[in-house]
Amino acid sequence: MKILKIILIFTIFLILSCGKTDLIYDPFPDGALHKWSGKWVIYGDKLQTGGGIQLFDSWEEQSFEYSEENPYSGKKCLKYSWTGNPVYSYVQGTKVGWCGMIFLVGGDWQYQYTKNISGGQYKKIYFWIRGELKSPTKVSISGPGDNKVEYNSSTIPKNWTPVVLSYTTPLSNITSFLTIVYSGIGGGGTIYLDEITYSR
Amino acid sequence: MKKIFFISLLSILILTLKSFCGTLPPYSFSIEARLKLEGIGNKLGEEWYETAEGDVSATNIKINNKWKWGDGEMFFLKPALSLFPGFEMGTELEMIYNYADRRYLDVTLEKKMKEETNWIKLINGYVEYEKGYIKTGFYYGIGHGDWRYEGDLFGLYPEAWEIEKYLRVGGEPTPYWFEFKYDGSPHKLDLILGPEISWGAKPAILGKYSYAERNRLWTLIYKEQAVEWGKTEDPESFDETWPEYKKKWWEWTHYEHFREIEFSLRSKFLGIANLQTGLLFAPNRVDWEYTYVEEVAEGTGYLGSKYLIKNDKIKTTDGLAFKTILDTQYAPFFDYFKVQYTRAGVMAGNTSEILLGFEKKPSKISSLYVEGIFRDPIIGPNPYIYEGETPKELRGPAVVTPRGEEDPFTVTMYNRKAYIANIFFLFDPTPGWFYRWQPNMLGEWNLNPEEKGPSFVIRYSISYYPTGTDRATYYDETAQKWLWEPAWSAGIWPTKKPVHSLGFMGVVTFVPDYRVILSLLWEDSFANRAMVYTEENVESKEWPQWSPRLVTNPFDIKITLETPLESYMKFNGYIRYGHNIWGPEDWHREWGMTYDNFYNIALNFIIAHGIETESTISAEYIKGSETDHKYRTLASFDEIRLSWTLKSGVLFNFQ
Repeated sequence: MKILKIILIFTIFLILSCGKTDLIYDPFPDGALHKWSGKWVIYGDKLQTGGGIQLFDSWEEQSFEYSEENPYSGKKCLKYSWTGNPVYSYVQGTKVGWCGMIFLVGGDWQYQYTKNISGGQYKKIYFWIRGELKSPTKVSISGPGDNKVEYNSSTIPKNWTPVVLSYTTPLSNITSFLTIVYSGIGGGGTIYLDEITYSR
Repeated sequence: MKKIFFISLLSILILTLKSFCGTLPPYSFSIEARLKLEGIGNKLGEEWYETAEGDVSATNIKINNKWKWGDGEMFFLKPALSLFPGFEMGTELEMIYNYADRRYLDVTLEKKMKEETNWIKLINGYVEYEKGYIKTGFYYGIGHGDWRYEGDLFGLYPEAWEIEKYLRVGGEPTPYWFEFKYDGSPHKLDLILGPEISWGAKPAILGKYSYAERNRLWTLIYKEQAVEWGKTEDPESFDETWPEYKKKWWEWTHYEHFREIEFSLRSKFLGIANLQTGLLFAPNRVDWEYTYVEEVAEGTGYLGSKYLIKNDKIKTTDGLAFKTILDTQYAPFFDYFKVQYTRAGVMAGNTSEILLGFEKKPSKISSLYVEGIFRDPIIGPNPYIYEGETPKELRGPAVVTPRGEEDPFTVTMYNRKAYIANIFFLFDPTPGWFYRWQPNMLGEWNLNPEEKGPSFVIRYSISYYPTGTDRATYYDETAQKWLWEPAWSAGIWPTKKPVHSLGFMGVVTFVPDYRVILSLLWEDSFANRAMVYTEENVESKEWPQWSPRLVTNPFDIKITLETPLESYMKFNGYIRYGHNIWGPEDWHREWGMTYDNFYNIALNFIIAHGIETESTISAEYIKGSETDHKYRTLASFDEIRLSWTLKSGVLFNFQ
């Protein structure tokens, strides 16, 4: 009899419990401060965009990592290299003479969306750069608008150098925070970025 | 040429009359061989197709997929040699002639070998010498237990048993280590030099000294472990093309080291109880900075919020931990009582935990065990706090994120705040222990093979996790390496209310010797990788959007039959049905990948030829199906597997 009672208790537990799906608590709404400080370090020692990083396209000829090689500040900086060889494009189905890296708003291309960060009243992006390029490779770095900076093998700074890209329009419809594009087959190179910051 | 080689090996095998099983006698040489021939056919579900890259994807159009058949031939050779008393060495080689593609558990060592056109691989090996009080050896791709029953209260030496999984997923034999043992009772010494003592671990050395006296065991353990995710010296000097030993030496000399010392005592308490007490000192990452968050009155925190963001540094005392376990069979009202308390600083486990367990035997043939666990980290996980508004489109910079690679410690699934109660009811009127290895754990692996029944165990668990976690590492099967979850993750989410789990395992034996095992599981189950916990994934999206399941309610039932048919022939087989179950690999649950319905039937006939040679004929049907058109991550498929395995061996004595 005792055994049957115990089995009955277990069965009641079971019927009352399993099968519900609304069991987890979404913590994201609790984290909203509803205010803006006016400064956004999108990369310091870690990526702080809330989104992901995507490379165009194949990883075979390019590499990206959070490197401990002489960061400008903190423990790590961002390192992005290209061998200078053509890179396979999954979109075009062939190899192309350029490659790039983008700091996405979404986690990846599948979860891409636009973002309105005008509340931050950001007027510029600044960052620190160093690197080495082999001719004829060039690298261009741009923010959400058209404003960009471009380097070739003779202009790329070997030591950490600050760069500022200014904006006049509110950043109300952005899909990416920063885009880096290598072009010019045959050279290749490596750049390091650190303290990438949006500010007023 | 390859065919001739294969046929030659097969001939040797068939001509072999007797195999060797057991410890190798001195002055002897043995070879055990196993040949497996298999034919596998599978067919994708009608809405699925294979992409050019070899992946699978779904479409709205119904496709008349055809059965595809492939064959696989594998040969395993296991030589062992004992040159003189106490000395033994052995290894196991796997050779493949072909590999048959499969849909279920498709990550295999053989697939990797075929892709790399590597037709022969060493999958384990050992060299061992034992004389008197001393035993020493090198073990490669061979599992090992832990030291939990030898005074290791804090788990400094982890067990590593899932050898087949490490090989299948990682592609290389692991763990591997050198060991030196001295057993001059009451003094015992165990030294381990481990390039990889568990899957993915970096090099470590461990030393354990124990002294046993009447009713007491004193243990001292030292561990020094290289850790990948810390400060690395000269990271650019590492070369992926180096041989394994050179890589391991580089890891040992360039990675940050964690050092831990444990001291424990096991003794009798008042003559009626067992008491184990341990201290751990792990003074690692001292002066590393970390962030934590305190909730304060609204308006008094950062930017006028309720969050006060604080920074602190790791202190030497953060590496201290204390643990004690008391258990007795002489408790009032109960037949068994256990209490366990742990308090561990942030660098020694970051937890405060109490466990209470009671066992009551309502009759001589049944027992009820109730266990309660309350756990709370000393410093909890960091929440995801950000400027701006809640909608993702209006979300600004993250001010605080869950801790990860760059932080000195984290809160994981295993030390997050939890309230857990487990109830086990065991009915076992037959002689002998119901379990095989550990009490109160369900699983056919833990069922005593001698248990005939009728007997059963029911487990009911209720758990509540009011807070989340930080980020964690995970194994990326595609990249074949361990990675950290990204900083945009808010950790694994808390539970709103208690979650439940029910398990059952029963055994019954019919005349003459037909053993039937029934296993059943029904529970609330969660994806266990923080990065899938996003708002998008809460509401399942309609096809074709990839959408993982964060919560599922798997129902899983399996009936196993084992029986000797004749003196020379055995049969075993099982039928399994699963509804809303996770896929079979670890990353399936991590990524929230489930089968809506899963069917599996397997039959094995084992036929003995002579004394030790045997062959196994197996047939298996597997079907996974997606029916709700929402979670299109694991393809629908049908699969049939047929195989024949011939196992034999020979022993030469050259004394």
